[in-house]
Parts: sequence; structure tokens; C-alpha cells
Amino acid sequence: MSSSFEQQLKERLEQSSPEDLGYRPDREQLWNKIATQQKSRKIPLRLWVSHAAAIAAGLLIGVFFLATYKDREGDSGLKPYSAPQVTAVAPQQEAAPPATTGNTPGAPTAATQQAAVLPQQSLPVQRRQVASPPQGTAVATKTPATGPNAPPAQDLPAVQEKEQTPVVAQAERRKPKVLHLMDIDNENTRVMRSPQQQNMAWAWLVPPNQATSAGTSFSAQLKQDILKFKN
Amino acid sequence: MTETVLIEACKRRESFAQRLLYDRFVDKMYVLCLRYIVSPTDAEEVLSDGFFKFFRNIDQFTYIGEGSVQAWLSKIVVNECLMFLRKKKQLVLTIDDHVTHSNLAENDTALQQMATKDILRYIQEMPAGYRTVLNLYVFEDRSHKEIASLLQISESTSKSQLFKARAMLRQRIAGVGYNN
Repeated sequence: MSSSFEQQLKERLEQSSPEDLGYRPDREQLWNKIATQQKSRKIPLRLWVSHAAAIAAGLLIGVFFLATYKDREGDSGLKPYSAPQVTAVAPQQEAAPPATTGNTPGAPTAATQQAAVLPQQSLPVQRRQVASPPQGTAVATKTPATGPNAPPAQDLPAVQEKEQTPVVAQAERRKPKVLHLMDIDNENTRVMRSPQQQNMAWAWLVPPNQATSAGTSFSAQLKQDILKFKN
Repeated sequence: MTETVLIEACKRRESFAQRLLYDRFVDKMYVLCLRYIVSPTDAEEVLSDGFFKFFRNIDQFTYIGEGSVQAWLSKIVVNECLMFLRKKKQLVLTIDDHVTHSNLAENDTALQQMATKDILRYIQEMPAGYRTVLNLYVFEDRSHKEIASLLQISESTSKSQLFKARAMLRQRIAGVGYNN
């Protein structure tokens, strides 16, 4: 392949004008187009500003909604449920062994009754009796233990007097569910399979001498007991 | 006005200097575009884009002597032509086995007698791949290595494309029949 051919080719074409080649470009129009393109260079800057403004507005709106959402969370139900009129303290919800004095076998004591009235229940009867007990009274306190640390005997009548007033447990530590007696009935009918199972499930609630009969539900008996105390 | 003065004025965004520079190089750049792009309308569009980029990036140019402005402007316009061909997907390298070889001497004589517009027409009628490699090698003085990196092909492909482009052009100039 000779370079003279290519050299001639190059020289012929580079020295030619568009008119020699049969073309007539509009140079003025081409220049106007170039000038317009140069002037339009400023527009992207405005576009950047508008885009930045839109992004800033979106961020502000997002922050605003985030702040209001946090405030709403703080006001609504994340607080632990607290029963209105929380009064008496029942520190020991677990099965309190019956008091050594004043405890008739078979009769539910205040401790047991109170243990039965758990934070899960909010009985209307108990709500009415929410008067806060005077300070210092041992309402459903720990079962007086025998021994050197046993409370003096004069405290026992106060305990006995307060036996009649069911005490609403203070539900501070956990969220108690609102469960009505009717629901308990329904639950128990589902849950109860056998008296043994029932006893096992509620063993911590029902003292040994309060075993339910085979024919009655636990909730029914509980109802009876409550009504008894009420009367 | 010398090119140095024009370039300095263009860097200051003086439209008068830009217009003078444009008038000085518009014809050569237009013919350059016509060698790559067949359609005159597309060639004008690519030419305007090339000049726009030239004026926009004039700050990066350093005048080093006579012909440096044209060389830099040609580089920009060639890149615009290649981008246009890639965008239109016209940069397809063909393999044509129907090219027959002709006598070299006869072609040189025939070239001298031929009109320039016919030469350009023969170049435009070649496949885009042949035409591009021929333009880059013959008119832009690029090596096969540079052509391969520009077109993202191998050097051997570049060489074969150039060989076939030359042969096809010679056939047309010599008046030998060519079958596509």
C-alpha cells in the first residue's frame, strides 16, 4: 500500500471547501446556534438552585413529621397502664400463706383474695373501694411470719379489719389487661381440661384448701367469694 | 489578528474573538464532519456541538505554536463525530470478502484526475467501520493502537478494516466493479 495515494487523498480533501464538495452550509445559522448554546449555559445553575431548594424543603418536611411523630409517641399509649386510683400496695402477689391468726380454714383471707385480684382484673367493685388506706396500715402485707420478726399482735386486728375491703393491686410494673368476669368464664371453659390441669395452672392462686369442685368453674367460685366479702 | 490574541480573547469570553475563530476554522471542520457523517444535517449538528465544547473548554488549551488551535479543534470535532456514530449505532465494523485488489499505479493516476467531491462521495459510500478507520488513520494520523482504543477494537481488526477500506476505495476510483 503506497503512502502517496493516501497523501494525495488527504491533501485533496483538506484543501477543499464545502462548496467544492457540493455543500452549502448556513454558517450564520450555525453560529447563532453556537451562541445560543453558550448563553443557555447559565440555566443549569438555576436548575441546581431549584433542585437544592426542593431537596431542602423535603428534608424540612421530613424532620417536621419525624418530630411530631416522636411527640405523638410520647403522649400515647407507650406509658405503662396504670389503673386509675391506684391505692393499696400489694407487694406480694404471689401466694401468700394464710395468716397464722384469724384465719379460719376454708375461708379466704384478705391476702388470698387480694392475690386473686390480680392486676389483670379490674373489678368495678374494687374500683369503688379504692379509698387509699391510711398510712401505715398493713393491708395485704406480707404474711406475718412467726418468729422474732413477726409483727406485734396489735397489728393483726387491723389486718383483719381490712380483710373486708378488697385491695386493688397497684399495677405499676406491668400492664394489666382488662379482663371481665365473663371473659374469665369463657377463658376457663376453654382452658380447663381437667381439674388436675386447672389446679396446676392456678395452683399459685388457689390455696390448697380451696380446690374447686369438679362441677364448678374457678371463676364462678371466685365470683362467689367476692360477693361474700362484699356482703 | 493572530491566533494567540484570538485565543486569549476567547478565554475572556469575548464574542467578537469567538466569531473570528469560528470563521477561520468552520469550513475545514465541516469537511471533516462530512468525512465521518454522511448526512449534512447531522454533520452541521455535530459541528455546532464541537465548536460549543471548544469555546467552553478553551481555558484548558495552551497555545504552543502554529496549527495547535486547529489540531485541538480537530480532536474535539472528531470525538464528537465518533460519539454521534456510537449514539446512532452506525459504528459497526463489517467484514467484506468481496473486495478485489487492483493495480496501485493506475489508482494514483485516476485519483489525480478525479473530482474531489467524487472522492468524498466514495468515502461516504463505504461502510461506517471502513470509513472511520480510514479517516482516523489517513486524515487524523492515528496509529492502529490509538484507533483500537478509540473504537474499542483490536489492532488486528483495525488493520484489516483499513486494508479493506483502501482496497474498496481504490476499486471505486479505478472504476473496477465492487459487489456489496
